[in-house]
Amino acid sequence: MDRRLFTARELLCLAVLALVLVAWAVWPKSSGAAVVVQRGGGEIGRYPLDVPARVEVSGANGFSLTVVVQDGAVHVENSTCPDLICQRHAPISRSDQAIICLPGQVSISVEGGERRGPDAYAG
Amino acid sequence: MRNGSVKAFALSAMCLCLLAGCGQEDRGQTASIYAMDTVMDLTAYGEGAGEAVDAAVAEIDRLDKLLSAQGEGRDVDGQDIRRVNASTSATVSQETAALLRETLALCQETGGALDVTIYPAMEAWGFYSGEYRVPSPEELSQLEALVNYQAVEVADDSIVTHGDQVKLDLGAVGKGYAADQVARLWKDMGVTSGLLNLGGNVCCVGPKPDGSDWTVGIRDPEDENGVLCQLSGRDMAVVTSGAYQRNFERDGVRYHHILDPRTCAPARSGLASVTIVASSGFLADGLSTAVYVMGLDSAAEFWRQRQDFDMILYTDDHQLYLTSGLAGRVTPAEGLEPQVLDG
Repeated sequence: MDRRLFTARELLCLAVLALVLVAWAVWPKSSGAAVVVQRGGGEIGRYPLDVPARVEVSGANGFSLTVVVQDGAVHVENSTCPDLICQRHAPISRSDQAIICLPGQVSISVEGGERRGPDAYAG
Repeated sequence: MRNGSVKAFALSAMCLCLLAGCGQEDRGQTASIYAMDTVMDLTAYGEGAGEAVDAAVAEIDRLDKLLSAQGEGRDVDGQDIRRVNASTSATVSQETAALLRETLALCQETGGALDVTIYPAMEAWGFYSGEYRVPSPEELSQLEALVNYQAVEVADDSIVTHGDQVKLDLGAVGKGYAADQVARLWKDMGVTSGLLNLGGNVCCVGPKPDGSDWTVGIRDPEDENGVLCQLSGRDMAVVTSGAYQRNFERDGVRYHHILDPRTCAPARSGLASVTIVASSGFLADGLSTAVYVMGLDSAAEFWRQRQDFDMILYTDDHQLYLTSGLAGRVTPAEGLEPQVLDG
């Protein structure tokens, strides 16, 4: 009686499965990361980080922002707010970064992206 | 299906489960809200985290109304500070009275570097409305007479201000107090691990879910995507004040929102960023403003006298200082050599 655990066919089947798993693990994937725009704490828009986009965002107090997604990062190209801190902010691409416009009560963050910074930022 | 195929299928399924399991971690329950004039992120971990986050949102909403000096409409029900600011005396909740008493004590301890009556000056510069302006020297000297925490009295549950133009702003301690309240609430609810980021005002509740310390990055005032250093710890409040957080430019000069109560103008103390680390969010919040106003030498002396908090100071000329209690817990950014202040 054949006492081998696996037949040649079963081994072939396992090898194919293993190959698929390895390919899945190493294959370059879409980042899956999304730009999340919130106003007053509520989400008002969500856009793929890897798809170029230009979005007009209406903030609180009548202020508006032009949010641009390009080259896997997001930044505020233009804002009508008085202090322009959001407009001066460098582009962000990681989940531990955010651009916040306090006068417009708008926050722009990245969800599902790379995270390599600390657990939180003070300041 | 033959027995062999069953074996193969079972093994494959196990592999897949293992792979899927490797990526699992407790991501916690998070809420992002806008309150107290800033964006806040609240994250709780473990069993009951969802209820804990909901309770935290409700508590912050309550405190925002209770303590805010700003607001629209005439209905000031449940808004103690607005009620006080609308007249020269008002009956308030025991909670507001206790908080104000504690804040006035901190104003005194800091020699007036923190002043809870800064409201008229903040209003004159347009920091409430966003309609920024630079008050004239004459206007500033008039404002100096109005900014005086000693003109406020708290007796039982009533607050009296001496002068109808004396107005309160608890903005320098409100977020820290809210963090303390939420941390207490979470501990009562059995939350052993959580993270509050109330507009850059960080409170770490317990350790991380895996039992290790939290890491908090202190923002570089000159590079919004960079940090001055990283701090590790648990059950701590970390609050940073800096000129870069809210400011505007007029005629080539940048004016920021941390006003020196003695001049009613933006503090120019030689410090670019002040971080206070303490077990109390209230203390960390209030002292971050006061220490910014004091400047390096006065702040170091103040710390030596108290030593119930720690601090990280970054000067306009790019020097990093930290107090000895933080030695071993701070990793500076490349190129920065911190100088340790001893007690």
